[in-house]
Amino acid sequence: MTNSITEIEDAGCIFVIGSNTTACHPLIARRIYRAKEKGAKLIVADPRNIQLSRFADVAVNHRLGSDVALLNGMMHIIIRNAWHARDYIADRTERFEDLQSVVAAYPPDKVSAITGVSAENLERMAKLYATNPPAALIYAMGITQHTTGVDNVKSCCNLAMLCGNVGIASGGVNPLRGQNNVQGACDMGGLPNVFTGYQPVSDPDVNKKFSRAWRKNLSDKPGMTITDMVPAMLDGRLKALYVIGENPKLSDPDWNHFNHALKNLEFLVVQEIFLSETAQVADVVLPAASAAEKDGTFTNSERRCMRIHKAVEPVGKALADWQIISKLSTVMGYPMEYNSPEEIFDEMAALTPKSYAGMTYERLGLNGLQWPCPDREHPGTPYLHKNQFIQGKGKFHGIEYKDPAELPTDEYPYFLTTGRMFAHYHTGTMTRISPHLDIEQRTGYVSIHPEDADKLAVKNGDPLILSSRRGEMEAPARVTPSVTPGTLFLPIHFGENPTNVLTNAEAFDPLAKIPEFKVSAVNIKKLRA
Amino acid sequence: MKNKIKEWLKSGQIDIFLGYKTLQGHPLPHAFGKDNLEDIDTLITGSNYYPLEKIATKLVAEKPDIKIGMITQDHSQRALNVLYIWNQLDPENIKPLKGDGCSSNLKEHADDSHREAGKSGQFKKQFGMNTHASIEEAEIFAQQERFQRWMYEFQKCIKCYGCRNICPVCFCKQCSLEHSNLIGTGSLPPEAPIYHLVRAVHMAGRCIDCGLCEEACPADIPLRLLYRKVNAIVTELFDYETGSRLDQSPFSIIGESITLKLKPIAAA
Amino acid sequence: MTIKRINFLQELLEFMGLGGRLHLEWISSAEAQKFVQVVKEFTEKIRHLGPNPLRGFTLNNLTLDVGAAAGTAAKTACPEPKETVAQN
Ligand code: SF4
Ligand code: SF4
Repeated sequence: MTNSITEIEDAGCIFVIGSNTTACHPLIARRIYRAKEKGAKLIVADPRNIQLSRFADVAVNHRLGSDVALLNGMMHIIIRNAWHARDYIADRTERFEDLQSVVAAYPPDKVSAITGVSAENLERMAKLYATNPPAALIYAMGITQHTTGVDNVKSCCNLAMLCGNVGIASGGVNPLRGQNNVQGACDMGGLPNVFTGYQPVSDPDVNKKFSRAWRKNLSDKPGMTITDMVPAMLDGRLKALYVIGENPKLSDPDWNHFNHALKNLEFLVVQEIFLSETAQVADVVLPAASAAEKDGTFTNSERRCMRIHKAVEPVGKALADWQIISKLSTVMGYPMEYNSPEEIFDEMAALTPKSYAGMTYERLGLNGLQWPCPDREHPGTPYLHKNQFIQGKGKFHGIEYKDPAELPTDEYPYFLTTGRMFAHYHTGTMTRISPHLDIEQRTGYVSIHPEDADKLAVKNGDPLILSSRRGEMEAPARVTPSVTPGTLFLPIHFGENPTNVLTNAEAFDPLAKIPEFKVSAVNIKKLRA
Repeated sequence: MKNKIKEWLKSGQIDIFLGYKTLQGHPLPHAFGKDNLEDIDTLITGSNYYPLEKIATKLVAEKPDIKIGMITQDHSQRALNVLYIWNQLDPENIKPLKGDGCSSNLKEHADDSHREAGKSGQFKKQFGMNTHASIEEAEIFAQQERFQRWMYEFQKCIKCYGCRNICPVCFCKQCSLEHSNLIGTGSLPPEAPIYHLVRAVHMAGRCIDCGLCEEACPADIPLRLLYRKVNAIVTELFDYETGSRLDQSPFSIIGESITLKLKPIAAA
Repeated sequence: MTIKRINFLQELLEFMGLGGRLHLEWISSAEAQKFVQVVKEFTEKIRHLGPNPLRGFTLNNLTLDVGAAAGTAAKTACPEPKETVAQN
């Protein structure tokens, strides 16, 4: 997030796109409710009718994967009405002409045809967003999990910059992160191409700095993304896999393909708190301590790094992740001798000058600190790009709309989108063993609109077979107008109804390598017709 | 006070003392034991309020004979009375110690800033139920408007069960809110207003108006107002102030003589 | 006791804006006349109150409850018609 969670409360307009916030980020939804109650305007764009739609001033269901067209359409209207922030654009941004020339080709009737959103609603969305500053833009996986994920994100940034909403309180572009610490994991270099604080491994100075600190010559070649690893596993280039706190057997696209790849491995190690589907097939399982059983820090969506404190001792032989990694490294010939997570934190902070350098455990205190926090006196940064963009000028990108990799065909006439439901978390390794959450939802299901259900003579609870070019799976029908006709929704949490049998591993964003979980083409039939 | 607690623990009058202690900057409920009497020196008093009584019921469920001392405030005494009535705690085994202060709405990090006077949003006042409204203020609206206002509030619910989990007098092993025949599962918002009505009905004769549920509610639903009305009806119909007395709850009496007249259809 | 409980519920429903929709009457098997009378009166009254405002809320899903009373609160807030409205 460029901005902070509490700031949302004071926004003049909130535009939520591709985020089922009440179900997936309920405490951010609380801020949206509060903003609304204080008088903010709310725009919700989602392929489904979500809980938040009920509170929206305008709620639209745009067709799956049509985000770029929708956003370009809004920008077209904003520029046509001269609602854009001309001074801001002149002072703080560049390449506005690129954007202008591209969005000129997205008049409302064209956008309406692509997205299914009426021209009147497009006008309304554009007006609400552009004329109620500060406007906060909030998105989640509905924007990123597409072949055009990067394009979608850039379009969000375009829109925000166009109206001068980046670098001000209560505005901004705010991706909601999927885990408590996924921001932290990325900050710590949990990506194939960077060290901590996004310092590239290929940068010779950076590489030298880390090589010196760790007394080891480090590779300057980026590693593989998971999307690259699967083919490497299949053709034998990758022989062993070490999985920490993930359950790719359920969460990766194209289940059959991925499982085939897993079988090809010579060695699989899984470090987990519970015996997930992936851990069940591992050669070695390393029991890890849960969040309540360890000390350290988490960095959340709003870049706030906070202490966590051990509340109970780890169960059985479980160890904190840092202990497991240190031991493993030591036996593999590189001794890692840390006495505490704090020691590791201090080392990291010293090597991460721009964002974490000013942080110490003591300074984090009760409230934590938001990076960038470059020195010991720095109070942290509630919102980014305040007077200047970090890279100097904010760059506009003219982005053309592209269809998703799969569109419905005669053979596979339905759109399928996948996502989360409120009671469960990702692959359910933690939530499905909680009796209270299990009561809420015990099995997978497929949401289908009453019109489609009628056509197939399907009643609530009837088992359906869904098939795509990758495979087929079964799930009971949930007949609900929360989806639009022609679109189905599957929650991803249920191993016995593995959604990712259907999704496409070949379709991913060329830059970010994120798979297109949000759009596939499928067919359905009744199990016992 | 601290000496008294130490004495109680030493002499075996109590096995454990429930109070508060600052842990990593947070005032948190803490159980002080005999084995570490110095620990009592870290006990803090003040306006902190967590449902210590609920913690006590959980302890008793594990060890029925355990003797518990605890810090109490006005509403915690009422909560204890309710729990005695419903046989969740035995007054013989509980030693309350009056702490100072009353619950504060506004603790740091509790994030219930919307409850500060004047902080209820304009839109909420216009279309929902003002957090600060009294029963009378809520009853100004005509039936249909009332219904819409409450439904606006209930539809914000994210079914986190926070209101139930924090409530000092929610102790049932089988919670009706989780009964799929009563309330549909698996979707948001939970079935409105059934979810909230079921909870409201079950709070009759139980709710001691501590306000913790409203403080816990992430959707800022004015739950306390709803349950206050529940209490007002209970007082009116049963002449019972919840938690004020130690005699039976009106809802556990069966076959009481009829003193009320049926309501005529038109007057309802 | 039943009277008290029903009274309690009547008052609570009233507070929530669902007043008048719950009624209790004792009718013995010999009082066919009274039964007819009560059912008639109550039916009349319910008809007068209009359709159940809850209809549409009973769906166990994420419907945007168009036309149902609760939608109105949000709708009044934004007089513009909604896209989702059109779709349901
Ligand atoms: S105010 Fe809320 S938490 Fe307190 S007793 Fe009543 S229902 Fe329970
Ligand atoms: S605390 Fe609020 S949001 Fe959570 S279940 Fe209760 S009423 Fe709903």
